[in-house]
Amino acid sequence: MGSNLVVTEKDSQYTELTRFRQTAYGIIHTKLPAVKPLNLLLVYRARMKLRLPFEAWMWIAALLGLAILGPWLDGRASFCIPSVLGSALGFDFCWGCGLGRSITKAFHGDLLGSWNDHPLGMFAILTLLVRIITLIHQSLKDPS
Amino acid sequence: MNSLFTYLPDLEGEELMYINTIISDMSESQIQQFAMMYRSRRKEPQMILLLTLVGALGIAGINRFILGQIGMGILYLLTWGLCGIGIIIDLVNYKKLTTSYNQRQAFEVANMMRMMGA
Repeated sequence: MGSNLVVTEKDSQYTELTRFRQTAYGIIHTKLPAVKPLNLLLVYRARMKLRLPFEAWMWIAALLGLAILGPWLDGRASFCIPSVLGSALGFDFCWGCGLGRSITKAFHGDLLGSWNDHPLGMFAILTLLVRIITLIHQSLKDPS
Repeated sequence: MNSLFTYLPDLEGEELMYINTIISDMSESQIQQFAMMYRSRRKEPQMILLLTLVGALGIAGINRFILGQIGMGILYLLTWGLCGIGIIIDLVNYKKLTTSYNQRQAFEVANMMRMMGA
């Protein structure tokens, strides 16, 4: 009788431990509930496998870099290749200059300043976002 | 396979692969029709490269217009190819840009033929 009781106690402890382990495993490895947007995002991520084309990575890096590093970069670095080349070669005109600052200001909510730096800053953000989404769509349709 | 080379002799690499998958279940006359329609819509990668180089001289974005990306074309034209960055990206990427455009055209042509045939 006694030995039986001990065994069952140990047994119950064991099962509790395994149950705990199973639930922990379950919490970690269970499929997420069918929340539509979240599921969509996970499916996107799983099927994408970070195999976006080079161009998409460049635009994403450009927009993120300008949004995050933009205030720090202002006045320290110029990405305008025509004007850098131009100052070396002796001419100085580029109708794209100010676009980086404009995009940074637009990301930080200063729409008027963005417009004053370059009228196309907000248009550039929109166009690049559309392009990024198009590229993601294409790479989802036929991953190559 | 042989007939494909008689109608579209200048295919190579990735383009050849997707064209092969598209025409795999077509008859000889269908392949001929497909090749004619695809040739008229196809863009040469070399042309896109040249137009990108023209963009480096100041009129950027023609390559994007030709590939059907109107918004990017306007943006490039009005900002000198995003201050030269976009032009460099296109110089590196011209082949992929052209291939993805051509691929879309090929699928469109195949769909059109399927609709007309049915």
